[in-house]
Amino acid sequence: MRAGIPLSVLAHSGVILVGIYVLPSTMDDRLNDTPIIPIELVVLAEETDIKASPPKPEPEPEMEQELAPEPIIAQAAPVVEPEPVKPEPVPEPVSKAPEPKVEKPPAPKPKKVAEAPRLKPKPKPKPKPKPKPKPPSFDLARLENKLAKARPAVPTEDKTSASDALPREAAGAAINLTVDEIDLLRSQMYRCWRAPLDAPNPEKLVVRVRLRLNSDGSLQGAPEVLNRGQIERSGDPFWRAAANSARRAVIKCQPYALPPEKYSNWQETIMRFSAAEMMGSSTR
Amino acid sequence: MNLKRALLLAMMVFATGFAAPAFASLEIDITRGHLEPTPLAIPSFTGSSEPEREIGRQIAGVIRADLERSGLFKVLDPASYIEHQANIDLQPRFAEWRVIRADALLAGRVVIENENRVRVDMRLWDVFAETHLFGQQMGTTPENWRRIAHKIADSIYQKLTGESGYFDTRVVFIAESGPKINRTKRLAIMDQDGANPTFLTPGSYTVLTPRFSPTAQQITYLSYSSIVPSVFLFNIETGRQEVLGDFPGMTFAPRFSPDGKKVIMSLVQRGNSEIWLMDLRTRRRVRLTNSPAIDTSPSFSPDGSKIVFNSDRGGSPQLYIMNVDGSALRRITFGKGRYSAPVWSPRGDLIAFTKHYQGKFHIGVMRPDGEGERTLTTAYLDEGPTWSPNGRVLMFTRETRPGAGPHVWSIDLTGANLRRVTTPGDSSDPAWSPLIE
Repeated sequence: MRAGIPLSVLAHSGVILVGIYVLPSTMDDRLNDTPIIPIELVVLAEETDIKASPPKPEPEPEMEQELAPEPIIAQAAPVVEPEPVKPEPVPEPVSKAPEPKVEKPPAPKPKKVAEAPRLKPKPKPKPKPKPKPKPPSFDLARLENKLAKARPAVPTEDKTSASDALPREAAGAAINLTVDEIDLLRSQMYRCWRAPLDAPNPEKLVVRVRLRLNSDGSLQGAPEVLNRGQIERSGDPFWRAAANSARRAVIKCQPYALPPEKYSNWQETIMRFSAAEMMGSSTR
Repeated sequence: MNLKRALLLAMMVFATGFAAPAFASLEIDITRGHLEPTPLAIPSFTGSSEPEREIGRQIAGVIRADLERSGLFKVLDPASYIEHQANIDLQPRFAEWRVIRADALLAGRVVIENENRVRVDMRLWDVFAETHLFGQQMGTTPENWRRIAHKIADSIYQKLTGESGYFDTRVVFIAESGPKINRTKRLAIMDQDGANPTFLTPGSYTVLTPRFSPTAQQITYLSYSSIVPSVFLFNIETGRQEVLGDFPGMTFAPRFSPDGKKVIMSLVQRGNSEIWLMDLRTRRRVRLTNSPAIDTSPSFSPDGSKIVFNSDRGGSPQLYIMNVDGSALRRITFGKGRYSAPVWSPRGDLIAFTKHYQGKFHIGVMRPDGEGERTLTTAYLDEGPTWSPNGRVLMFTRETRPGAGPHVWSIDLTGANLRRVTTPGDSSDPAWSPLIE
């Protein structure tokens, strides 16, 4: 009889254990059957291309490091660009920079920052004198090295240097317009552009128009049809009419709703008009 | 040497710094546009006397109606115009036309030079680009002002769409009158907008299936003036009619070749209908099909190399294509329904047809390979499409309900611009002329 008590305790605890460990796992199995919702991670950087902060620190460390010997602000722009590639630690310079350059009081820095945007036009004409005085002080090999580094970087760097031209640090500017901003522009064009879907082979009637814009989004002079020569040579009257229609649309649609702080990015814009995508959805 | 290298390098440094901005433009793909009609401003043409201004008002009215009817343009209400130009040789104040959002502005002037001659000067302006698109001067007899209006409408259409117009054209059709059992069917002709309708045959015998020659000077049609229906040629200028060949049997559905030198038709012999091609000069004829089925309604491709026709050799009436010598025959329609009356577009890119499906008739188009079929209209009875000379608009016969008389209607390729063409009385079987020279 007495042996029955521990046996009963053992059996009960066994049942409880089973309840605690085994049952939940079978339940889990059922839960696992629920469909898995896939989440796709999209790298926005490719689409939005917001390179806001990097450009800021770049000019500072560059100038300081390189210019240490020659405190000419202007030189920084062209020659120094390659350097940010070397010293990856972008955040570091901000904190470290002031420390190593104790010689230079913090005062000059703010000046540069303030001057740079205004002096933009100046810096470029100046570089000429710079290389000339340098060769004696600089090692040729070093200069060549820098060039080699600078060149591959050109395509992407171009944009920064171009965008630097105006607002530069002021906005820590994004390089391109965001998807939203481009979509807004597209929907604006939708209202102004009559797609040439009535013409035979509308997908071939591609027209590229270059716009030069004022900062308020209005046109600066007449838009230019970039593939005019190709269109004229084709002798296709439909293409010619499509070119006129695209040009008219561009004029009609101004002023453009574009972010003023990114003016340097869109002051010259090329619109490529193509009705190819509309063909499937339209009944024409 | 070193100095040269250094200089070169310095120049390269300089160049990399400066070349950049030139490539910095933002490029955006614009892939969606609207399909709304283009807004135009067409004020009445000016004149220095009241008779001139009266003609100016009428001409502007016809141009507005032509362009509106095309579905591609919207003529803005003249009441909204701010500027009233007195001299069309001066550049208009574009800003005032931009306010009403006119894409283009037509300015014209009428001058009555003498009692037999009216001169019309016109200019078309691009309001947004602020450019002169083109100017024209035309002269004619005063009663012929409608043709000037149509020609101006054609020029505007061509300039703005890139496609030649179709306004200075005519349409032959069958004017019908009288009770169903004893119907009078006369050959008639009118301007494309329904103006100037004229009968060409007396009405004492029935005529059917009129078709224009490529010069717009001749019409071929089927006449029941004798016991056996036969194909006739009619010269519009001279009014002369002649029988086209003496065939042993009945001939149907005649149509000119694109060069105007041949006529293609179907000929029924011993109850079997085949397609024949006849040389108009030598009057020699060649049989192109040979099957026990009904082969009829042939139509040439605009380059004259192929023929589309209708045959029931596969069981139900379907469309077939063959070379002009009868070779390379193949069927192009496989859809449900019965296809008939194929007509090749003057542009060459489409074939229009009548389709009978589920108790309704449709006008549709498809590519010559049979792909891309689209239905443009649906009604109790829609049949016999004919193309505008630019291949953008179709006219056809419609009966809206049983017992209702037939009328000529038009539809454009969008399928959205359906209109009834004004004719005196009932009308059927329209055929559109080429552009008049």
